[in-house]
Amino acid sequence: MTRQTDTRYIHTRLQTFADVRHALDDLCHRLSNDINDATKVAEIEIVLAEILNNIVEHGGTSAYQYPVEISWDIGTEIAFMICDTGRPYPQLRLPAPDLPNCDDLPEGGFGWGMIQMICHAVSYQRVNGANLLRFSFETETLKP
Amino acid sequence: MELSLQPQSDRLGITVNAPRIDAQAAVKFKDAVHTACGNDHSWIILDFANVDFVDSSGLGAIVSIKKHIGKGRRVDLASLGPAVEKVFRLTRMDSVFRIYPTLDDAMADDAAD
Repeated sequence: MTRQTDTRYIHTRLQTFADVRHALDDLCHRLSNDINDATKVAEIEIVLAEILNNIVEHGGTSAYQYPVEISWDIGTEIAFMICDTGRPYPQLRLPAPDLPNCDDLPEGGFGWGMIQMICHAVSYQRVNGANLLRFSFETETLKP
Repeated sequence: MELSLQPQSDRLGITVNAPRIDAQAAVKFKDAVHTACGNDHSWIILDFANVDFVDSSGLGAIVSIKKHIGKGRRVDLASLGPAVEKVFRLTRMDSVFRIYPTLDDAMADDAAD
């Protein structure tokens, strides 16, 4: 049986890490309404946290002049799109997903590696002064 | 950030009483642990029984504690919930720490190495 695709979204201004916390709280609450698997929601939260933290950390002042748009299609998988008006990504492309070497006791640089390991079909475009990031999660535990 | 301390001979158990060690909390967490550690113990165990969520900033803070505060002494972890354990496993940082099921297990561990 094919499930009909539903689209959900939130618009949120992200200026501080506290704003990210509030947005994640809202997103996880919304996701739990559709996904019958706390582990899956927790995985999605990790990815969203990294992406939203990056917007606050690297997006600059232009990132919070307009709300960040987070939308997701729920069908046979969950396909996210996040649109922010922050600074463009370096070289207009996705950062390398390489993880730092554990032996060096790295204190950062884990984010993109984790994102690429948890979700799939990650793509980036710069469109009309906005960053457009897409990524998907497989899930077999959608609520009917 | 509120911490509960359990000193016992050579070791100090530090229970973190906050649900999230994230970008907002990472610096406060690191500073609080730094203050709590003192100089009396050669083995620090961070107990995450009350922590539901760690992001890459939180992970960086935990590694920083091992690297700087833990210089010359051991730092290990206890009671990682599923989402926290996942972050350690994905980044392979689970190979850098000894991870105990509970703080009590760490406190009862006689084998120092």
